[in-house]
Amino acid sequence: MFDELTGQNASLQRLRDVYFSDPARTLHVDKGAMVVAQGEESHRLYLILQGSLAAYRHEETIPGCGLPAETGARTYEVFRVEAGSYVCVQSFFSGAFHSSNDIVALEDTELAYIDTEVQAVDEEHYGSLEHQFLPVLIHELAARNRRIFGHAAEKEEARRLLQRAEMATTLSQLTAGIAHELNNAVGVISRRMEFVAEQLTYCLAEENPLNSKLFTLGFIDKSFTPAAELRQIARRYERELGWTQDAAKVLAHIAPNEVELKKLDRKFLKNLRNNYRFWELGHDLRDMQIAARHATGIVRSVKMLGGGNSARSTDADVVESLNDAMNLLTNKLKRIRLETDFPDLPPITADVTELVQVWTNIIKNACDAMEQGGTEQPTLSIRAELYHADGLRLLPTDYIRVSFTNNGPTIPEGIREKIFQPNFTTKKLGLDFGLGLGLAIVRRVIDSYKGCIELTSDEQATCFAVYLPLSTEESSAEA
Amino acid sequence: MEQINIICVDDQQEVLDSVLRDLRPLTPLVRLEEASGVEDCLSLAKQIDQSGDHVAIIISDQVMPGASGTELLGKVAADRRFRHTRKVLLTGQATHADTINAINDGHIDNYIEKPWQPERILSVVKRLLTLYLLDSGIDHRPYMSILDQPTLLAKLH
Repeated sequence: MFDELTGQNASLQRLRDVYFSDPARTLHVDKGAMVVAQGEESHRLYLILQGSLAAYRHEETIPGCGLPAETGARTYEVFRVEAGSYVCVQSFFSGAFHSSNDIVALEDTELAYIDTEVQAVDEEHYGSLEHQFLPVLIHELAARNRRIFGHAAEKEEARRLLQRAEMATTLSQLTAGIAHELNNAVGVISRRMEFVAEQLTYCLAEENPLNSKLFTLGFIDKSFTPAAELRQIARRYERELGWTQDAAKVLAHIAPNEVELKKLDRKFLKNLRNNYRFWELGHDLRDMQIAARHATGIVRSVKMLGGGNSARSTDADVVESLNDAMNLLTNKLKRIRLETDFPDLPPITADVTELVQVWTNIIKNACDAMEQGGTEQPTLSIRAELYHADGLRLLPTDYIRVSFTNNGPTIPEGIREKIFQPNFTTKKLGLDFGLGLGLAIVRRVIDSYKGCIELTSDEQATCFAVYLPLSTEESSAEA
Repeated sequence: MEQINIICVDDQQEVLDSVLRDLRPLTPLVRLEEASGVEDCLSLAKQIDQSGDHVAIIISDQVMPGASGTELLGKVAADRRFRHTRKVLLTGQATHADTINAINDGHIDNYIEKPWQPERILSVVKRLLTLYLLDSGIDHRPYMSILDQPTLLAKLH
C-alpha cells in the first residue's frame, strides 16, 4: 500500500518522512479500541502506519423528530481505511477540531500523527502546512467522492430489488385473487352443466327414446377420428345419402366408417336425419364440460405457480406437474410439435409448485429459443424416466430424469454456464409476461432437491435434463 | 347454381363448432365449410375453386400450429383466384405486430375479437357476403334474405 502510494506521488512520501516519523507522535491502538469518538475534540491528523480503521456515525437526534438520541440510535459505517491513509483530515484542516465519526481500530493498529503544535517544515521551499498537505486533501476529496458514488449505486440497486420484490408480491396476490374468483365461477358452470345434462336425459327419455339416445351419444361422444378425416366422411355421407351437411356431420361422428354405419337400424337413421339437433345439444353440453374442466386445470396451475401451497409432500407426482406446466403454456406449445413420453413413475418428495415452476421455465425457454431462432418444424420432446446412477457414494443413486430436447439453435459453449445466472438473457425485448425468473430459479430449486441439471447442445438438438433424487436423506429421516 | 362457401378456420374444434353454429342462419343459401389449419384451408379453397364454386369469406383464428391466420390470409390475398374473397381475423390474442401484419399483409376486411357476439359476427359476414356477390358480379337476388340491405343499397346506387 505504502509503496504504491510512493509510486503515485513523491510528495506524499515526503510528508510521511518529514511529519510522521517522530516516534514521540506515534500511537498504538488495540483492536476494537476507539481512536476518537464522534463529536469529541481532536487536534490531530492521523496517518495509519499499520493496521486498519473504521469510521462509524450515529444519529445525534432521533430521525424525524429532532429529539436527542439515547442509546440504541441508528449507527452506520461510513468508511474503512487501511495503512497509508489519513484520518481526521477534515476536522484538522477545516479548523473544526471535532471528529465527525467514531474512529475504531479494526485490528491492532499503529498510528502516527501531527497536531496543531507542529510547524511547517522548510516553509520557504514547500509553502505553508496547508499547501504542503494539498495532495492529501485532494486525495481525501477524491476518496469521499468515490464513497458517495458507491453509496448512490448501492441505494439504487437496493431500490430496484425492493421494487421487483414488491411487484412479484403484488402479482402473486393478484393471481391468487383471480384464481379464487375464477375457481368459484367455473365450479358453478361445471356443476350445473352436469345437472342440466342429467335433467335433459330424463325429460327426453320420457318423450322420445330415439331422441334421448341421440342426446346421450352426443354427450358422451369420444370419437378418436381426426377432425379432417371426419369432414371427409361427412362429405361422403352428404353426397351418397343425400343428407344435409349438418345431419351428415353428426352421422360421421356416430358412424365414422362402413362397419359402424351398418350397425345402425333404419328407424334410428331416419330419426337421426331429421332430429340430429338432439345429438348437437348433447355435444354442446359435452364441449362446455370439457371447457370447464380445462379452465379448472388452468386455474389450478396458475394457483400453484403463484405459490399457493409451498410445502414438500412425500407423494408429489412428477408427471402431473409436467401436465400442469404444459397446461399453463398451451398457447406457446401450439406453435410447435410436442412429443411426450411419460411412463408410470414412483412419487417423490417435492413441492409440486416448485416443480411446475421449473418445467414452465425450461419449456418456455425452449419455445422462445426455437421461435427466435426461426427453427423449421420446431419440436420439443419431453421424456420422464427412472435413472440409476452408481459410483458416487455420497450422492443418491436413484433419480427421476426429466429431459427436454428441442431442435432449436445451439447454445454456444461460452454461455452455457452463464444462462443459469440471474439477469442473463438472450431474449429480445417484447411484450411477454414471464411466468418465472428464468433458469436461475430452475437451478436454485433443483439444487435445493440435491438434484442436478445437465445441458447438452449441438446442431441437432439442445437438451436440458433434470435429475431429481427419488429420496433424499432428509426426506427419509423425516419419514 | 354455383355454391357460395364460407370457410371457418380454427385448430380448436369446439371453437370452430361455435362459429359454425352462429353462422347457421345463412344456410342453406351458402355452404359453411370448416378447416383445422392453414394447409387444410388452402387445399379446401383450391378444391372449391376447381369445382367452379366460390370462396366468399374466410374467417380465421390467429394462433394455430404451423402457420398463423395472418399468413393464411396473406396467401389468400396474393392468390388471383381469391381476389374477391373477403377475409376476417377472429382472435383473442393477436399481438400489436400481428395486428399490423394482418392489415398490411393479410389485407383483412374485419377483425373480430374473441369472445365474440353472435349478432356481430353474423352482421359482419352478411355485409362482406353482400360485397363479395356484388364484386364478383354474381346475381344477388336469390340471396336477398341473407344480405345486408344498407350495403346493397349503397352499392347499387
